[in-house]
Amino acid sequence: MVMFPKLVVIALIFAAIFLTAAGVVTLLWMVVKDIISKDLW
Amino acid sequence: MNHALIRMRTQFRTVAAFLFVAILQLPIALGEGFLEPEGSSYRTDDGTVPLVWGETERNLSGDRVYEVRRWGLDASGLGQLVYEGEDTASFVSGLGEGDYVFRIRSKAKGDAYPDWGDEGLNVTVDYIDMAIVWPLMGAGALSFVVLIGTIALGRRATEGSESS
Amino acid sequence: MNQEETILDPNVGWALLLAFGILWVGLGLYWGRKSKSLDGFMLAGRNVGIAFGSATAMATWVTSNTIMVVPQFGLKMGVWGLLAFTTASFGLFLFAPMAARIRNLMPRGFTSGDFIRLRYGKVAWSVFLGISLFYSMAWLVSMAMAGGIVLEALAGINYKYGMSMILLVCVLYTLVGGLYAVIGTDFIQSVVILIGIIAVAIAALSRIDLGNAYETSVQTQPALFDALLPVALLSLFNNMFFGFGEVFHNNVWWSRAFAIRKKVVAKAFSLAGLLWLPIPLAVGFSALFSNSLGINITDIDMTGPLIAGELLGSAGAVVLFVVIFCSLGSSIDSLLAATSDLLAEDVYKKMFNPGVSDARLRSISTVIIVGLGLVTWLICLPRIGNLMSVLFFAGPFVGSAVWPVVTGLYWKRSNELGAVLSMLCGSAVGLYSYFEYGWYTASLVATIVSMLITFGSIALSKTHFQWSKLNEEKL
Repeated sequence: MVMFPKLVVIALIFAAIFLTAAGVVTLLWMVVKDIISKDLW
Repeated sequence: MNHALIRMRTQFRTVAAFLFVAILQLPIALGEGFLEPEGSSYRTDDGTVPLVWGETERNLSGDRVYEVRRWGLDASGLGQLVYEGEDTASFVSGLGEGDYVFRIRSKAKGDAYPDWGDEGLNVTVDYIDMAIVWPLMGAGALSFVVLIGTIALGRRATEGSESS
Repeated sequence: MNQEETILDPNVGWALLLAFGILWVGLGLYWGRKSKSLDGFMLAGRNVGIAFGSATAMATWVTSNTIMVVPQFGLKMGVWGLLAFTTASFGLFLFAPMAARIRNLMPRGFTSGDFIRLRYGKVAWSVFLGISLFYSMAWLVSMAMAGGIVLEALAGINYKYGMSMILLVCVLYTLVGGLYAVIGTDFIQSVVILIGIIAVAIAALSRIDLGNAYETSVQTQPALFDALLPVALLSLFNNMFFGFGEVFHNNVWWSRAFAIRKKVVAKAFSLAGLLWLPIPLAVGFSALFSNSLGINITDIDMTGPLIAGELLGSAGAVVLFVVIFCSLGSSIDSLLAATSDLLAEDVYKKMFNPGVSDARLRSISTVIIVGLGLVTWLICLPRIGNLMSVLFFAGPFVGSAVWPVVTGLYWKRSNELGAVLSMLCGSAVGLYSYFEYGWYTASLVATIVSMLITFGSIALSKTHFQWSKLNEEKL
């Protein structure tokens, strides 16, 4: 059996959580930008 | 006559009491084997076994404890603990290819477990043949590349008209 | 852990359900003021910005299935299972350039059905509508059912009441607010979903020593970390093509392509893909370690809630409850709106009453939304099916629609006979594969068969389609 190395599994999990967090920040930042430039709708 | 009636009534009570106790014991006796998967053997191609040993997901009286272990076919000894507790189901996953025996035993809380019986569920984990997997993976990868190529080339070809 | 002891107090569950229900309906009423016209109601005025645009595409794609089925994938197929689920985001990435193309070719288009009808003709349109409506109903039913099941498991709310409440709330705010309400609430829901997922993931991480858990799990459940697990490898491409099929054909995504501002539509879909990409791993990683954490999964359908409840207790259950409620809302509302558009525009207007006025069509849409909600409710009442099988049964149908849509958008020689045959044969062979080999081959086989037929028909075709025919208003 060829296994996923421990480091790869841990790195994947942390990368996923980090990317999700980055996603929320991006979304909030974009909505503020759209509100300021009146581009929401 | 009266005496005969009383004797009959007493006998009936004894039989009824016996039947009542026997019915109460039935689920416990049934609980020593698996209700699912049915039969004495089970085959899986993904290394998972949905084990169920009770009608409801917990024993309603909550006074029994179950122990489920698994053994490799050739192995003896204690085997590997799958589950111990009051639940009456367990989804087993991540099994490597090979043959296993799953056994269950139960006890009333505070009592000792009985010895393991010989009966058990024989599980064979036989993964899908890689001779099927590789061609399908190859075809999947190829059509993925063709799809990306179609969209990318299509986008490039229509770029001029797209700016309008 | 015992399922009959619910993780959350039913009163807390009802309070959360009512609070969010009132919030969504209130916001629906607020945004509904903008949706007086047909364009407003169906397509949110065709001028949605990038923030709302990417959030709505992402949130719609985070369904209750994502939250409920992802942990099942982790538990059954390990690391590859989770990675296979992330490939569903590729559908959003690849749809990004297609959405820009759609906006250019059909500046006044309404539905994906419009495209197939104008591009291929009525036979292909009928087959496509059949596939699309079947899939949309299966998706809608599986989500409403999942909602009822999960609310009952988490908070002891009776399945019928929970399922009815979710449907009622979604029908109400879609009805009063149209796509404006759907997209506006989708933004809030996507923020709540993402924050909830991060909170649960961080709380889970604080309870799991990943290094030790990995070592134990590798011993007891080696297949979960097997880099060559056959069933997981097969599910990788199967899931990917299922995702392509769902996104490329369904009016949920086409209606967003028509609704988002032309200049930012491609960017919005790409960003939605990026936002979605990490979610399966963040949601499902705990399932890899359930065994080493001593969590007994009694019911595969309840893997996620069981793990969250065991690891995080009632606080985790509240967060999970809210995340699931938001993911249900964000997808059910979109499906109600997009499917009612398809029925109103493609079936009612194009098949029965071509001369219908916009105002009349808008009111027809509202009746259809109520009807759809009612039909879904009736189908869901008996509580049937297993989440995974309901979801993947639709795979071959949507997989077979990938190539007719893609080649129809870019290749002039793509033609009706090829489109019809590829959808019919792809679905049939995919279904055969579903029953003969398993769900993890169905979409993959359907897409490949559909591709071969489409290419064959293009090679033999003399069709030279005029793109201008897609701009119906100009015609």
